[in-house]
Amino acid sequence: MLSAVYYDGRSALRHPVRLHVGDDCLHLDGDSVRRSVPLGSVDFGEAMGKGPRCIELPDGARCEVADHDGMRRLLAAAGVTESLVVRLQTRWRWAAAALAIVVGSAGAAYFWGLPALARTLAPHVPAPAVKLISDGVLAQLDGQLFAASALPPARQDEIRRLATAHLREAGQPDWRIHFRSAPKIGANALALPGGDIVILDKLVTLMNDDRQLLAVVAHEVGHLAHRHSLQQLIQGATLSLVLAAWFGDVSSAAVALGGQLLQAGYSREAEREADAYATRLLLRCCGSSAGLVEALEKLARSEGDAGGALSLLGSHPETAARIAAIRALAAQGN
Amino acid sequence: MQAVCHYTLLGVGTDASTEEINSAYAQALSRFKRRLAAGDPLPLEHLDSLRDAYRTLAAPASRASYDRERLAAMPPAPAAPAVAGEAGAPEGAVEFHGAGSEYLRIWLVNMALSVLTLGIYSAWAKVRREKYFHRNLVVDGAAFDYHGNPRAILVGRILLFILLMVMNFAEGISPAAHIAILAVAAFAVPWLLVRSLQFRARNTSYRGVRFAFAGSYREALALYLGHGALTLLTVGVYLPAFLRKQKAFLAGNLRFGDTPCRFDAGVGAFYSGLKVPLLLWVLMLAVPLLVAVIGAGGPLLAVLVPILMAALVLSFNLLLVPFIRVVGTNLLWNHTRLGDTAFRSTQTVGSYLGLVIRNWLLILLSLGFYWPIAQIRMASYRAHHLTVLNPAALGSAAAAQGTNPAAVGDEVIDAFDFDIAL
Repeated sequence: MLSAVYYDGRSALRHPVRLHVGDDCLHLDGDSVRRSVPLGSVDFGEAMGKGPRCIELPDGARCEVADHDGMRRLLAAAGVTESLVVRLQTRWRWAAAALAIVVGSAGAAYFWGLPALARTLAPHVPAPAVKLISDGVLAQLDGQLFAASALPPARQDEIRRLATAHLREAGQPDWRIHFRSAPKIGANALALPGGDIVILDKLVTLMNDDRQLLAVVAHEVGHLAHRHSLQQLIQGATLSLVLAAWFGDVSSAAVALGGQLLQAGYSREAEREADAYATRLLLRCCGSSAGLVEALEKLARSEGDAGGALSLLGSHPETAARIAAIRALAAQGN
Repeated sequence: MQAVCHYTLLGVGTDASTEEINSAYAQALSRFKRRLAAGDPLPLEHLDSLRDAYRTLAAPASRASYDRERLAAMPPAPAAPAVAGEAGAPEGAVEFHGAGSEYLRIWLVNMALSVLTLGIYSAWAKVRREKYFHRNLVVDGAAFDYHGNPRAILVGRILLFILLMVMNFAEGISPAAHIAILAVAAFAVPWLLVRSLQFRARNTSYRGVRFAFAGSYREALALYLGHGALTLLTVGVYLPAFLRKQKAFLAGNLRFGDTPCRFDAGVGAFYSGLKVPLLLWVLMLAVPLLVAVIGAGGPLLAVLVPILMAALVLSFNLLLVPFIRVVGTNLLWNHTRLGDTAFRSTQTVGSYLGLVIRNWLLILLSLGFYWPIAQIRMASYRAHHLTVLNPAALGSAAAAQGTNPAAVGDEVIDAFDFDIAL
């Protein structure tokens, strides 16, 4: 006999009852209630920790049982076993396995899933949308960071001519070069998804040889050919969505910082891909990829001088490793 | 001898007309007969108290004298147990039996199964989570329960996912499309809120009786677009009045079976409860403005303004938000009555803030894995600071009839992280 409280589902009145199982029925026995319900139509629910166990009867009536040991005996008598999920939830061993699955899936999604998704989606972003995004970013940068270039227009045209003459190939995405000055940023260049390559004045002055400048442009064309900025947009959006769901109501700083750190891993991979593309392009067009190595060395030196705020998050680290990879690829190509 | 409030027993408001009382009595009688015919009779005492209630309320003279007695006997109403033998304390502590380690395991298994099923299981996970928190919340020896249907929740989640995708997409297309979507959202969110509150209330039960939410879309729209906009326009000075409207909307529309909830706090209570954060807020707005006016252009300004702005944001999050939450929760409970049952909420800003900061730090340090334990701590805190006065009176509630709305509203609230402090 198990003590329980019966509620008829039509009023909140409390009816103390005793429960027992027999003849394939659950019997309820109290001063105001006397019922027998076939076991097949009784929902014994799930254990929820120390909270009372709730037994639901088919007509909306229910019994609450606070005596968990008695409940176990009743379930055994009724031949009811706890559901698989409940058994998983009550063992630390399975909780640890669940933790491993969660962490493992998160790792797999980060290292394989998301890059694959971005690679698949990026080519399918409609061209007008890409142009819209690209123009928007350039306008924003022009408004906040960039100023007009101080380079003489003749020099700008010369670089454009050189780049077009040497680097333009069939099958490349459409690209064009813009010059800007940005005193707050070091020597740098960037490629926007619509094909706009922006070269900062400091980079032009840093590179004393046009071969090095061409190498930088080739590297940016590599980013464009691989649609890196679109991929990073997709990856960044997904990462911040996931992080916001995970940390959302705790800290927006954790979301932002976590996003930066995780995104930096993707950037490194993108740099390696752009290097490889540039190496092959330079070998075909100019016969040598030495300019790329020189440009990287110069950039590393100037960043070291400037204190390297940009390299802090590791988007241009491991210059030595990158140079070694370029040399290895060039040796293969020759 | 009156056991339960006559109005509650008949399921009518205290302002019900004689016709309403007549029809309520007829309905109650036919309910009694139906139960008798079904071989599942209600106790005979129930019929006696129904007759007694009707006789008293049907005649204006006896009703007036009953009303006088009832009002004099209020806070807290001394209702005796509804049925002989029913245990009932005049004051009931709210107990929360949830344990952090237990819920951590449930949460981990939920997460893993959701990942393995590509998110489909998350609807079932939600039901298990809600059930855990409801079933471990015990008032006067009886637990709450949650009855959300995981399939309905899954449909809601899929619709929500599509909705978010469309919004994201519109954001990318053009500013005009973005604004159009935001305008649509401004009208859609109150609707979703009402649906969500209905779903949540309807799927919550206590002593086998479901709750219900009777708030309308029109009310929600007036609340959020009208009073919400007014709050923004007055730079927050209207906030206490807005909060009162919000709590009145939440609590005043809630029913436990056929027993309506009443919320009776005035605007004054909210302004006096929130005078400290309100003053602080005005000060915080005024100081940077003053500095900007006085030291216009000076080099000091370039240093001071960012520091002041940072202090403003930090104190807003760390002080004002918890303060408003605590005061709002206390005012909500202390001015809510469910039939003859009242509540006492005794949260303090200091203790709440301590808990929030502790949870926040541990979640960050554990890279998010402390989250389920933090949830349990918060639920314990809420329960610990809540007392139910005269919980036995809830025994007289009878179930109301109704159907479940689809689950979509509830899901959107989850995703947009609305705080419904109820």
